[in-house]
Amino acid sequence: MALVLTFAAFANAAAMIAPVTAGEAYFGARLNLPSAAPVAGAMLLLIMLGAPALAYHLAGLASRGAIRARAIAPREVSRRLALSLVPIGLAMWTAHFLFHLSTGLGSAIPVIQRAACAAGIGLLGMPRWDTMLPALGPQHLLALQLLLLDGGVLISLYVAWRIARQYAPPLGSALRLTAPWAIVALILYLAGVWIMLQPMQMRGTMQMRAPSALTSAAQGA
Amino acid sequence: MRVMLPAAALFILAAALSGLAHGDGGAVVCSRNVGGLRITLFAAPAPATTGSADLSVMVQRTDGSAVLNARVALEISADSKRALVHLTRTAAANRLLYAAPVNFPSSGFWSVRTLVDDAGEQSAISCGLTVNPARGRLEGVWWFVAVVPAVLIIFALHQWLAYRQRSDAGRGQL
Repeated sequence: MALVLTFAAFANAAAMIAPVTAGEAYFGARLNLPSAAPVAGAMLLLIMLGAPALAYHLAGLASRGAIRARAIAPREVSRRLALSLVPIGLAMWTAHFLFHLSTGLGSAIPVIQRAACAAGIGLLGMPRWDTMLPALGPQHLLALQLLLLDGGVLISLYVAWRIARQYAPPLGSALRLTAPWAIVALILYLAGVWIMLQPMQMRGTMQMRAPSALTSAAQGA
Repeated sequence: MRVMLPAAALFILAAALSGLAHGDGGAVVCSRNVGGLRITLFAAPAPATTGSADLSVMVQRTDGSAVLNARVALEISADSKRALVHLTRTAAANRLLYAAPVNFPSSGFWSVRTLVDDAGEQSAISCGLTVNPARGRLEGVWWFVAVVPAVLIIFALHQWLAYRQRSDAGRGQL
């Protein structure tokens, strides 16, 4: 469950970025599907179920050598080390939702004003949609998101290291035990950085048209 | 475990179906009442950046019902650049909206005039849209990524030195 939630953070954010939605649309068209939804669903299931299962088994197998000489159940070690990925997952969820909070925070006031107007309460005034601004500028937001991911991956690596030292105190054995899980954490981190650097998903027009339509839509603009 | 499995299944199902909600990062640029209509302009990505963007418009009557057979266009301008973009409902994933992809070649303040022709009755609203430089780069924030290898190298050095110190102390005692 912890691994599913961790990988879901990346699947959820990846599903909203333009390159991924464009890829889904491309494969949907290649497979003659009426929409990209089945491809998107398959991708989500693959990242949320297939990838954690694969990572768990591969990392578990790779780290088994470090504890072979000790009377420790490999599954128990894998289970504990898998939990070390929770901080990077939490960091990704937080970084992703920070984006939505930052961009959507300004809309709360006009929405409340509009609801008040609709309820016949004029005290709050008319909604001013054009005064909405993101809570953070794009560069500050990106920096904060990267900082969250930095914290997440470093905590994940440290937790994995501490768990490994409990089972295999010598430095070399601890390193061999940690390495596979550290690789998974670093891959997730790099995926998170890449996702954060991509533009957010378009409202839907990109899924409906070929990418070439973009260039011809408003050449003058 | 008895609770965890259904919770996991529910979570996966909810995530798999979330695409149906068409939730995204689009934001309201402006919304005004004019000539018996409420015209709302959305932009995605939010905040808008250079390159391709998705501009969509929702046209509603005062009772809140959506107008689905209007003709909608955007007059987009900044400095000497100007374009007229026609929006269609077929281009939008959400069928209540009129949408079109727009390419913003440069960052800065862009003026967007939304023109609505509802059965011959013309309405228009004007809004400003700030277009930021595209985010697909690391300039200015690269060192946030460099922090991770730097901390890892320092930590590895610390662990190695501590191990050496302990080994030396152990040999000294012997």
